[in-house]
Amino acid sequence: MNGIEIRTRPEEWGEKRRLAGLLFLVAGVFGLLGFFRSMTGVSFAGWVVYPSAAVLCGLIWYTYYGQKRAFLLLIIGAVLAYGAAIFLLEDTFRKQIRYIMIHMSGGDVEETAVTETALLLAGFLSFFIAMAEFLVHSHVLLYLLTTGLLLLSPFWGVRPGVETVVMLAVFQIAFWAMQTAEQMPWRPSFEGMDRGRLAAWSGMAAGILLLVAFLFAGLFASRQAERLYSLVYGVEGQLYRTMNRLSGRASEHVTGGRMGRGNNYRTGTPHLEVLVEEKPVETMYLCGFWGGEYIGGDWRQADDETLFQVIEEELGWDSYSGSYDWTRSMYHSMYFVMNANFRETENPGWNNMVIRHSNKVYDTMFIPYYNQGSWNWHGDTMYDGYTFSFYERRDIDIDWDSVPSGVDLMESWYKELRDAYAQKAAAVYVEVPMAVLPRLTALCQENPLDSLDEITAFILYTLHSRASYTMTPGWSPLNEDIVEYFLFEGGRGYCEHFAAAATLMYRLYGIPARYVSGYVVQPSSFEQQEDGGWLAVVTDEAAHAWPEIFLQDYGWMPVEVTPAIGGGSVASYPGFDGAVFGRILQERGWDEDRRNQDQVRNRETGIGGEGFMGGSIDFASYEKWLYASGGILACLLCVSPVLIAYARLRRLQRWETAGCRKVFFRLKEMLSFAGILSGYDGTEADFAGQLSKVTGVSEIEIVRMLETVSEAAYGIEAPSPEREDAVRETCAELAQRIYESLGRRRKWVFRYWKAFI
Amino acid sequence: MKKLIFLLMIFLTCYLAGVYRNMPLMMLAVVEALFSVASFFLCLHFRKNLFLEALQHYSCVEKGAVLTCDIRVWNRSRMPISRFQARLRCGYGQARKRVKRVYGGCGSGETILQLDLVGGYCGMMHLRVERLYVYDYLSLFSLRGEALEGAGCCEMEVAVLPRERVLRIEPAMSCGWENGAEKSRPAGWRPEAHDEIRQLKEYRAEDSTRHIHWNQSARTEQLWVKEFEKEAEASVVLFLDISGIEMSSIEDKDRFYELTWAMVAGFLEFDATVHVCWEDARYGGSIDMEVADLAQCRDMMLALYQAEEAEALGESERASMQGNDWLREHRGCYRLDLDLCWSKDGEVLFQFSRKALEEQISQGVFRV
Repeated sequence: MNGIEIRTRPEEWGEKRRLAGLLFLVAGVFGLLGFFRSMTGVSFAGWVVYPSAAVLCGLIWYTYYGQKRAFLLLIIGAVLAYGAAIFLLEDTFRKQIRYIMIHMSGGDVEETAVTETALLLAGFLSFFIAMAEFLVHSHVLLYLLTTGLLLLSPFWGVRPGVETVVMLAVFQIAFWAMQTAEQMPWRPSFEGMDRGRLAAWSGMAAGILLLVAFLFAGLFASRQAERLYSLVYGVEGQLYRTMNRLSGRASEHVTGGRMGRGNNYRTGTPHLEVLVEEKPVETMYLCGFWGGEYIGGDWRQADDETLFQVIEEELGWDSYSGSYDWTRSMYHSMYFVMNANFRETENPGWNNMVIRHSNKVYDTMFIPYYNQGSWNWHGDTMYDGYTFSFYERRDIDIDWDSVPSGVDLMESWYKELRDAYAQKAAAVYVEVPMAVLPRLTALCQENPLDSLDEITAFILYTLHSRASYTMTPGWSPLNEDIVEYFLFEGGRGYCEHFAAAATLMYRLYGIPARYVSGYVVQPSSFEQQEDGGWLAVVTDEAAHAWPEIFLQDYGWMPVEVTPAIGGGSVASYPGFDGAVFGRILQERGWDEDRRNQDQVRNRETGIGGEGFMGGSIDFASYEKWLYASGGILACLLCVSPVLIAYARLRRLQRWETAGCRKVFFRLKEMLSFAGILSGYDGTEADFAGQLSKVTGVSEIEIVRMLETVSEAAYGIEAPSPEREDAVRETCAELAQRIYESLGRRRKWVFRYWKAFI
Repeated sequence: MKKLIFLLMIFLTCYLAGVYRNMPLMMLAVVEALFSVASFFLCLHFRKNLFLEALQHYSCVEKGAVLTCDIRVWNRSRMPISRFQARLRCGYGQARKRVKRVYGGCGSGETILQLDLVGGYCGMMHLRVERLYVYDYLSLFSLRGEALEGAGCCEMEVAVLPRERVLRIEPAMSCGWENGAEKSRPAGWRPEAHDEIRQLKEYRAEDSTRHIHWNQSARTEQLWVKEFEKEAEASVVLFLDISGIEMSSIEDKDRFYELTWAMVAGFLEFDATVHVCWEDARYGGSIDMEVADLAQCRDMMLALYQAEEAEALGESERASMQGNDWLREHRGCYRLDLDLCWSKDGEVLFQFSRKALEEQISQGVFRV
């Protein structure tokens, strides 16, 4: 370009062995090993792996910047050693890697230490990072790799501890700063910089800045964690609602068997209009989906069709209808009809209901309990909603014993159907994939219970003591079952999680239960209309999930287990209410509050591999780290005199061969440090005289020194080695005089820290 | 771009930390955000504490050779500056100057950095550190340094001299010389009093500009003139027609300077002096420089470079610079113009080619 070229000198080898490089290398390797250790189920002997990694890093660093032959020997030795180890311990490695893979995929196997694999990994990481940083000078790949690991870790359920994150962050930022200082070789640059030194100092400065930031951030984030999370949820929720409104998905019905793995944001969009003749007294449950089989986070639609088919065959009714709808319709209206006809008390009369879908899409119907429908099942013809007659649960009072048996009456058929269905439901709706839910299964097995009331009480106690209700529980890892994660790790969830956990626990105790999703309508939501009817506009905020259990005399009965719904935390069904629950808690000695506190504390104060998930930092849990840090600091303090003396000697050696201009600049640094001739830059006419006056060194010698330096700077030829030596001698003499003029503390700094003499 | 990616990473970390309620990750996001803010303030701190100064303001270098310029960098901050960028505006003479970005770094205090420059064309090269930018440790932010505002301390002028090549000139016929020179000299040589430099003295108004010692003047930023001892010697006169030089491209000027040097060096092979003359519009008269050796040849070239600094001329001035009147008065002189036409008394001796000049200089033999 325009005939002017700026040349970059070839990279000079050597003099780049900086302790900072080793420190950051060790930080990176330790950080990645810490990350490995924080993976679920992974444990290894840290006292073996970490020191080994540190020694290996030190060897790589020392030989790489020292003797190339030794470095090559180290590589060859490492390859041979690792090759031999892999050959000899093949089975061990294979077993350990398989174990890690099983844990990664969410499986449950007996905990095994993977020290050998960790050692192998430490070796690989040491060489890989050292080569990338020292040889290739490329930090981008490692930065992206470590950042990717950290960002992807929550998806895998890996929760790196604070110490791991600190080490990885120091590694990322400090090496980034070092590489920035070392400059890109293809960029034209000024020459004469001691790039290695500059890089080391820049890296150290960035690292210290980062550690200070961590100190503040640790305190801030631990105290304001909830606010920070809320901030994120606020943004996420706003985006979610906006996207849903724009895409039209906000008006779609919230139902189905797919359980939410993230936060639950509602838009307030109307979904249903429910019109009833009389204002209900109880909370109204409108069922849209019944969950049968549970498959790790998803519920399959309950397959009642097959059930009724078997029942018809067993009862010999298949010859009557020729269609299964007959039996199913009969069963659905059975409790309504029986309640209307066979009661011990006076019939209170049923209520009528019309349900209209706001979006006019009738692909799913929402059905109340104890109903008799007069609807058309085919959704495409229901332009103006569908209707039900229904009883509220408190009005159900069927006198099954008064139904005559053996009589060819509808009522006796109902009784037969009830018994047949109860038998089938007890076989089908108690299935649980125990392999997917090892901890939940173990929990139920460890707490054997007999009566339904005790089971319900235990379920409520477990849910309320282990989890809290929130619509923003955060996301759950992909490799963990959502129910297990909710109950045993996250401890936060909404109706879907509570309902699913309760359903599975009921089933584990042998109680037929189903997961139901749909809408819940509070009596307060109804407003009287001009025609005397009561109308409730149901928005997506009323979408809900709950478990239902099968009670022979009542059929499927909803059990409210979600704390926030209905204003109370106690489920109720005939025979069970708050008083019963309280009595059982007392009898069993289950203290909800204490358990809750323990759980919250345990979740918040995980150490090392477990990390911690929210709230404040419990420094007691980092006791071992504090002791370790204290020990390291004490060791450093002990060896610091040796280190300082060594560093001083190295620097003095370097100055013995430095050019006279550098030596002169060093002299100016000394003068600046000592506060002598401040304001002089060495070019003044009276500089030599003043310096001589202050230090007592001969003015002639100083003038000669200045002449030599000037010649080195501006002359055609470089000064002779003898004259350069003379400059160094004069500077040494001046340094000695300056040293003698200083106070004790400054003398120490001058001699050992600055290494001027 | 780097900044955007880093900010994106912070947002992503913060988002994932939030949705997974992961405290260490949230801490990391907060730390990264704090670090970014701190980096910006570091940049602000650095920009006020970094100073650059060129230690040499004038230099000479042969075309194609590396010139090492010393730059004094003073970092008043206690922290090292891992990267700064100096924007150098550089170019030749009046030609449009381009900006080159040069990167550097420095520890605390004073540092002398070097800049290795190579001039690809002959002429007067101007360099000025136009702007200075400082970066934070991750190069996320860059801010314009304040140290160069209104300061002229970072300017340099570098005279790029032609390579020391010699045009092979051979006499068409031998002729005798007054001092009995052994070598034959080409036609056009005339015996003349040759001036040996006795000493340098400060320039006064009555001194001739032709005797200015350009090299020394450039070094000391003060005009010096040469005092001579008279000595009878033969000399040849070469008139350089530099009319329109301010309009010529740097490539054309480069060829002209290369040829001028080679030609003068060729004449000097005959142990005689060469009078190199040209019309200098700045002084409104002719410049006559006597060249007896390569050192003087360098002085002559420096003076010639100064001539191209003149503003664009009118037609009449340009005609006068062609030296027709002067040549009519001084018969037997050689003339070389910017079109590389070498002539004598109106007769073209040789027309050098722009494309094959290198070859012609190195391989050609010219009988005059």
